[in-house]
Amino acid sequence: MKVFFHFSLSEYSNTYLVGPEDGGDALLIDPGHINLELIERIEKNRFTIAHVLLTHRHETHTKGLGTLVKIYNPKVYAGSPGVYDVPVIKVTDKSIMDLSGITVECIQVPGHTIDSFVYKIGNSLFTGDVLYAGRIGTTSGVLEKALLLRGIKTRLLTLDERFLVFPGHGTITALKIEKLFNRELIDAMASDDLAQLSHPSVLT
Amino acid sequence: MFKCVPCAVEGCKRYALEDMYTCLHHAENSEEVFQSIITSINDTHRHRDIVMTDARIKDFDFSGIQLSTSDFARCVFENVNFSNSKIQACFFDFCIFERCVFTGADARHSVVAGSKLIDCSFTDTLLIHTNFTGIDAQNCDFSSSDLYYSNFSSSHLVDIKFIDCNLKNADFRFSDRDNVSFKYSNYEEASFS
Repeated sequence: MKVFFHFSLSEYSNTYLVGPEDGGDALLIDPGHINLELIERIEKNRFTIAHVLLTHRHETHTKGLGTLVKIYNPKVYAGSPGVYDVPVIKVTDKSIMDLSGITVECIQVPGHTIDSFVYKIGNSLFTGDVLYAGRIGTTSGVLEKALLLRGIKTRLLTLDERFLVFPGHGTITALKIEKLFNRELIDAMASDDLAQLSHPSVLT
Repeated sequence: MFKCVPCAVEGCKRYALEDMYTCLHHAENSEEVFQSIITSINDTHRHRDIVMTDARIKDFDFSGIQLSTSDFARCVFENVNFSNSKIQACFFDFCIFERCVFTGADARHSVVAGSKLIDCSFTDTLLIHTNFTGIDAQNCDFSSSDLYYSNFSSSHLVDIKFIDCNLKNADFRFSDRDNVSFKYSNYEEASFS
């Protein structure tokens, strides 16, 4: 499996191209912006974009979807199908998909948005805006932050710490690095933010 | 990219070398394997998916090498010359670099997090989207380098030069800095808090 990193200068976001070694059906994660450089990379590696995974609904991660659909007509997968202009297949927490031979496990980690998903492919986590190098995703309130932290703690930090992290913004990293040096995560875990989860609005 | 096949030796948490069952440490003829990997890296071709963790590499000239998506975690590099090399999307996390030179290198998208850097030169180096989170660096020179979107958060920096660097979107939050110079650099475009 090959993983390519593409940075969108206009949206400051990362797009990842994942495909087999010798070309064929590939998948694209978070098409924030489709430009000639990305198209050339797809074609040079003899890939056809058969699947698109969206980590969440924000435009910086989805803006190139229309262009991509026109060129490759891929199947699109996301947590909230209703918010997009193109047909989208709904993904659910803990579901495992076989996308042209690439096994993708879906991990829902709400908080940044309600439809935020992390996609696990092999030993790699495509975290979107859930977890970045040295940061956690932004949230609109304390309950959302508590939800995000609970998700990161129970669903991501319990995985093998050697897992690689490919975030929606910033540098690539690994779970071990985030456990040791992500001050936002460390500080939040040490504080009482998780106690907010006992609030009735979270539990109902 | 990043095949990450576990070492076949029970209890070993390292990854196996490319096309082998064990890590370098557990290879039967580890010295020969080490030399063979070093020789292969050092030719003019582009290599990728090399896994060589926990190795000690001293007094080597890797100038001009081309490497991508390789794993050198927890290695010790002493007096190694990486000048004008292309080492893209490589993992050098939790390594020790002492007296290493990266002048003119392209190390974009690489991960150096958790490493200790002593007396190293990164002048005129492309370090776009490079992860230096949690590094402990002393007497290093990053002058004239492009550090766009690089991440130095939670790092400990002593006697470091970032003179005339591009620091746009660079992250220095939670870093401890002692005698760090950002002269002629656009540090106002970096994040410090």
